[in-house]
Amino acid sequence: MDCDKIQELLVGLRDGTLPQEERQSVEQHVSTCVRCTNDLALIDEAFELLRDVDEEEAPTHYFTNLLPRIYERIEKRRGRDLGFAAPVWLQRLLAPVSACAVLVLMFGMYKLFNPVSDPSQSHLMEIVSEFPGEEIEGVAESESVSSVLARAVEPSQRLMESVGNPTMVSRDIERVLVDDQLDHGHALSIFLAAEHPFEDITDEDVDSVIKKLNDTSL
Amino acid sequence: MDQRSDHELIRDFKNGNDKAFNILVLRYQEKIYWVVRRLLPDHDEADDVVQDIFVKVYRSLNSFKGDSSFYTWLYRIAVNLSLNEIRRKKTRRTFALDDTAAQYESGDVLPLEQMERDERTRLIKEAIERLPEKQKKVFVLRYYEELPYEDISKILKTSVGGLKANYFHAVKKIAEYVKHGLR
Repeated sequence: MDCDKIQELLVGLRDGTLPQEERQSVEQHVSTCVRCTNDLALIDEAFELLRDVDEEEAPTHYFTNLLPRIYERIEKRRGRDLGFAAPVWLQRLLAPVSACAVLVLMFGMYKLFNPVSDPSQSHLMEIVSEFPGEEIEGVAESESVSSVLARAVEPSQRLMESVGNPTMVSRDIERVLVDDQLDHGHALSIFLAAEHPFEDITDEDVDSVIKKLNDTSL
Repeated sequence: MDQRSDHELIRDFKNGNDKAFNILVLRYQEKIYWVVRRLLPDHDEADDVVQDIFVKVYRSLNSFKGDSSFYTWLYRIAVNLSLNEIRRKKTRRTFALDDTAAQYESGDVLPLEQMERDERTRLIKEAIERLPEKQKKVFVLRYYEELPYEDISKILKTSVGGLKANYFHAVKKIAEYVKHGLR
């Protein structure tokens, strides 16, 4: 075995998770390899230091009071969602959602007149379908999708900023199409759905998805 | 102590028994708090994220299909929401340093051994906080939670080989950081 493979096993040698048959070959390798001997010494040192750290404690009564506080938060969010006025999240979501709907419609027309398949789009759908109900990070961590995500940032931000201004939205859609970035709005809707497969989308959720899209592009 | 399994509790919750959710919270609150707290060393931030995690669970439980275990699903939410918070804050903190500095400034004389111990503790926390995201979450789940690699693999959707490599690098970096800091 080479050093890179051995390195993965060194920690197991110390925390007792390495099977007996591997243990012998790792120990044999370490006894003849300076690099791995040094790494093992570092691991020993790390575990010794970690054992010596003062354990922190949660504040007194924290766990006794947590459940009522969770319910308080649930009620607060439920009350906000049931408000008579159109909730902020709905107002903010309106533009991207309608933009996505128009994009889907235009995408259909585009496909009708350009029946060439779009490999990046189908690849994206394939990747997303591998993560049913997955958190956005799970999807975003897939390298294949990061380039689509990165390109989704700017158009999605523009769409978000254009809330309440239909002219701006349609102009934006036009620009997205002209720039051949048809799949970006679609990507945003996919990631919103992936992030919130089971629940209503709140304004914080939208902010958080946009934020994640931004972070992913950095 | 309620003997019902997680899946039985979820089934009861879906049938309208809210108390089943309470039992799930009580069963996991401490574990989840410590996962979050290791990732976000500030208690108030951790508390905020912990509440959000359980609110999310409450709102999503009716649609939980049980493809993975509840525990895997819950840990995944916990890790993801904690990392979101870290990304949101971005600014690096020097958490324990402030406490230690305040203690020294107050004129309290600490025994040398305790001072060294405090310094090591500070450096280790700082080292963990500086780890890259992937290494940090693997380290917290493996070292502090003592979860088997197979479980971590389901939570983080990463191969066991990748996890082992990340764990190795995390442990090594912590030792190097602390050694360098103590010089």
